[in-house]
Amino acid sequence: MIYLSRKIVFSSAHRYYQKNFSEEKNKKVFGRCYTEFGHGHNYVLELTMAGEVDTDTGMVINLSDVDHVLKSITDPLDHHHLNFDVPHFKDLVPTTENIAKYLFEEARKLLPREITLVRARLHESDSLWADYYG
Amino acid sequence: MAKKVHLTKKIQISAMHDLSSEKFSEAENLKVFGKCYNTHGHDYHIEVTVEGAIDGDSGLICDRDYFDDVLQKEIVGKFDKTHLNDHFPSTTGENVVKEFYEILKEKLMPLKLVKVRVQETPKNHFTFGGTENLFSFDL
Repeated sequence: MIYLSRKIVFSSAHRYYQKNFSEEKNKKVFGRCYTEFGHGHNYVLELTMAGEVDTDTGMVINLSDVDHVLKSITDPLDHHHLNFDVPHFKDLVPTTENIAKYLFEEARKLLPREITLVRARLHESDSLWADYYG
Repeated sequence: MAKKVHLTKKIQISAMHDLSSEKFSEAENLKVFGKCYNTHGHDYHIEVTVEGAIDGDSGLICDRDYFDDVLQKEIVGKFDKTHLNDHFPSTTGENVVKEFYEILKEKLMPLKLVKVRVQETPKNHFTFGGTENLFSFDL
């Protein structure tokens, strides 16, 4: 089994805000992440996959196919405000954890069945990231 | 069943240390530890990983401010710009990562600490996850 990882960068705005919470509770739960209108990040998504090396191609999966998956799943988020523009986050807070989970699930739908998707790692910054394991 | 999510926060401290053992003579210390026997310093990059399930309302696995504040208070506040030998009997990378792990395991509660990774220099790093076996691609 070989593990391979590939990254893509996308830029989005998000706001830590749960509409079922009072303003006071939002400030308490999200702390310093709470902002009135939201803020943005250059997110880095890294998918780690595992599979057997194909004896003809020498590859587990063609990286251009992985790039296509990465682009397909992040294009709807890139240069958008996640809370307002992305239906999945209409009622779900777009935290780093939830975005990582969403991108893992979207990638799983597009990757070939024989490829194991091991992890979606989503960097919000150089010093904070979430890992989602399916 | 809630799927596993890890959240990692990276902090930095600058500290000095030296490697020696009381059991060794000066000549033996120099032989075993080489230039590390001299007092010197590093910018330690420390990655701390906690695990949890995503809360359905907040979308978070933990209180971010609490996570940040514990790291700042217990690691940056106590070890930045200090001599690590004043704190620990041995300051090898292996022992430093274990010491930080033990401190954070207690101080981060109720958060569940998964692992601590200490990068001593760009050429070496140490990872400790207590009794848990770590995936090799997580090291």
